[in-house]
Amino acid sequence: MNKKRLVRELQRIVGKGMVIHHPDDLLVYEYDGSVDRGLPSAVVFPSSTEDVSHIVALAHREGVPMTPRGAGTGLSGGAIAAEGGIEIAMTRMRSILEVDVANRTAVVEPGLVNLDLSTATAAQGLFYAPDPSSQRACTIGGNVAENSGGPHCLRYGTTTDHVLALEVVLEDGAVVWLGDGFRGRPGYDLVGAFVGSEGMMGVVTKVVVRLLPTPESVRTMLAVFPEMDQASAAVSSIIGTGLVPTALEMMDRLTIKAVETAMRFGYPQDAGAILLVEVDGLTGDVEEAAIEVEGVCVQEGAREVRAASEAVERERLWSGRKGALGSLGALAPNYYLVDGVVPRTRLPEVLRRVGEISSDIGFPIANVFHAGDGNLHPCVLFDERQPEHTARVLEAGGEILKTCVDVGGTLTGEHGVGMEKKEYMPLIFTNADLQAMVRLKQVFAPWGRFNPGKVFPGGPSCGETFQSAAIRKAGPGAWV
Amino acid sequence: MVTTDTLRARLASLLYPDSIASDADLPDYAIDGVIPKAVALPDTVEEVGELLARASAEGWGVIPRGSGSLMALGGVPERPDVVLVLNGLPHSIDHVPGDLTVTVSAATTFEELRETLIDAGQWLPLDPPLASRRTVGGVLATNLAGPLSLSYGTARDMVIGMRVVGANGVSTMSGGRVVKNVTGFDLGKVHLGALGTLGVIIEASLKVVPLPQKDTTVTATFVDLTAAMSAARKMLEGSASPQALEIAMPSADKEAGGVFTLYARLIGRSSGVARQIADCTSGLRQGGATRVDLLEGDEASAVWRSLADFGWDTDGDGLLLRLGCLRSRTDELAAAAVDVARRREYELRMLAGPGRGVIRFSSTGSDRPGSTDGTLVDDVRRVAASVDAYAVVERCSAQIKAGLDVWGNPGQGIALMRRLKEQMDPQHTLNRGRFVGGI
Repeated sequence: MNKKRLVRELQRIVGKGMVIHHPDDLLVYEYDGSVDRGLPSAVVFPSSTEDVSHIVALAHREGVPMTPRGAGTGLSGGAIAAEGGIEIAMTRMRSILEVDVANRTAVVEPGLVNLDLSTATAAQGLFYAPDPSSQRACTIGGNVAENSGGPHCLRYGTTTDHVLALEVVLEDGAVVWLGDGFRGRPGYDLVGAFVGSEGMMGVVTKVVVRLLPTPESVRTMLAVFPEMDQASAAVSSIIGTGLVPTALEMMDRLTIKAVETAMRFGYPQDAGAILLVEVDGLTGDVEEAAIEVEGVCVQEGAREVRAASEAVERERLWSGRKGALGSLGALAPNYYLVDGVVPRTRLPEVLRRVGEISSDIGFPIANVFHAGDGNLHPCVLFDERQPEHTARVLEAGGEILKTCVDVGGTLTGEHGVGMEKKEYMPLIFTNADLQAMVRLKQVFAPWGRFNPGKVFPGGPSCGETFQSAAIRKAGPGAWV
Repeated sequence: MVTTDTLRARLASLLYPDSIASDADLPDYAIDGVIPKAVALPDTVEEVGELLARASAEGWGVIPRGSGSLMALGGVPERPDVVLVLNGLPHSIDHVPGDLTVTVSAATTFEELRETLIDAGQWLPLDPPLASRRTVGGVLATNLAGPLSLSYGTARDMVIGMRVVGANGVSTMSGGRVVKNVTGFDLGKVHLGALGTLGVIIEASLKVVPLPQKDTTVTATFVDLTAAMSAARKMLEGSASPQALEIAMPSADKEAGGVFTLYARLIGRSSGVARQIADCTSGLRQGGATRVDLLEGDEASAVWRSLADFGWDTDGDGLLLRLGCLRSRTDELAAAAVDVARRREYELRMLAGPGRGVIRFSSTGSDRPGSTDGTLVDDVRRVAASVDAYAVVERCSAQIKAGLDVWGNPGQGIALMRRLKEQMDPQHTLNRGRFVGGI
């Protein structure tokens, strides 16, 4: 089917205005939050499960690749049409269909913005726990595809822990429900298999999520340390006291400088590291825990600890951390964000190695990361207009990932493999491991129409972008 | 179908003689009264791989087994060629307290794991039935959750990585040893509770948590189920809600006592638990409890162990049903089931978890007392269907099992589940006939 006919057929399903196909308009949908690019033939905006089912059935019949897309905030190329075809943009399906207070669940459409759910349920004393840093923009459907985390997953777990059931459109257009509104029914955990499948198994059209009761009390603390090693030691000591904070976040010297330059937050310019700690629970417990945390931080060398309990004040303490990535723009035109994870106790040595890599390649690397769960986010700062810079930066990213793997860590903690890291998969997995994963994918999507060119190394290369090719050169590329 | 002689010859080529059970021992490995043709007791993971590869190539049926404590769970085996005993594999525990993770081999006993963690001031908040005598692999493959799942979730929420030997004999891993990981598909999930039908779990990495400062239990007695349930509901809705909450009915027979005991487990920091105790006891008294007590230490541990073991701790052919539904419908489900039990004079014990939407019924009496129409299982399943609950027969006599699907209606997901089985175990080597929908 040629593009003209495909567009006409799609328009017949969703209406004329709901298909984007002019090359200029498509440019907006060529990328997401990562460095990769891929131009779709058309972007279609369904408004119902039926629309999705018809779109998918059409594309399947015609052999057209499909890429589901939420807000496009992803950081690994998950929403990019790597092999062309159509993008199915879910942003019109953004209703909260039901909030069941007694069972603490909600049924939502996939295009719903993450934060809008917690905002809507706050009055009932409930919230949706997974909170990616992009939660003001990213969608629940995208979170399901990537199994997104966030600062608070140290205590509350990631998206997969909070999804109870999914309505999914499979490759042939069939609509199926996976799971129930509660866990425990005997049978294979299809929901668990689907969450985090990066858009390769089906298109989610409804999500049943678990909501949690808003904690009685929350305390946020911001501790300023002269040196990074002291902050790392404080993290270990906090865990050692038997406390599991809800969040444990760290920023290094360069990040603090960026935040200060961009936001004038009042951080000491000479600070070596800032640690953000949040505890929640019953009021008395939180007060006690906060005193303990403060004591540990001071003991490990913190020169200042600020604390807040009121929402507005807490938000202020968080704003530097949440705005950190954006602030890096004050230091360089581009950054390349790595998402490696290491066992938490190996953090200090890995951070030192990241510093060495930075010196070796001659690009500054800012570190802003989830210290509690060992999820690093080194940001290599560069200027993509300079020749050769991108390739060297990607090479540095590869070095960092190899370092993570060497100490028993892994490639991605919350951003997904996507296009960006697929060539690195053999660092972690054997051929047999990957084949087992392919078999799982085959259960849901045997024809490979959904989001081809992601997660698995090698494979068909049509529509491959220059950025992936660069990564491929850097990666081990042993698996075909 | 493979003959017993062929099977033995093949096993002899794969395993050392002392890794093959003698004829005299075979009856010890019977499942639902079915004696397997052979029993393999390998010492190494490699032997497990070789055996499974051969089994898939030659069409033998293989039934994985850990400690053997929960072999009653599941349908009657359809191809009981080899029982594959896994608790002879190496035991290993790699606990990194600073990372709050542990990597443990499947043959390790749950008790060994518990002791190692406690020595380092940590624990795995998981209380499956018969935990003290089982292997980690068995606990994960059956994934039956206990009372603690109210606040800590199930193994699903704790496993971060897994190594499995597939039906093709090939060892594969997914996940890893870090607590946050989206590298590759989350294959471990499908093996949890899969009863070994997709592969044999060899090793798992899990998240663990620090031991709490305080772990206290409040018990209360009620003469009336409605009062007990509504007291429980109030506690669950409060901000100081318990970490585990179960209501037990030792007998449906009103004359024999018919009392309901509520157990609330309060786990956390000392100050919070003190407040929980105060909130709970006053709430329970106001809610009509005839007696409220506090339990601590060994006494409390013993109580929770027996609640976790409910229905599994009796010898013989006891009948055990598990019903699950939306938590808001637990009261309705419990009331209707108790009503049926009383009308039809079943000898029934009940354990209800109103916060987690799970109810277990256990009967040591007749399935069909003085009546010819219907059975206890039919009656309870009818009640379950009326509140959209599932009903699993976790344990029953071989005679009863022969006439029913213990898993009940698998729902519309079954088509994809069959495809999953087809992908992972195309020869249906593993545990054929024992899982949902006859998988």
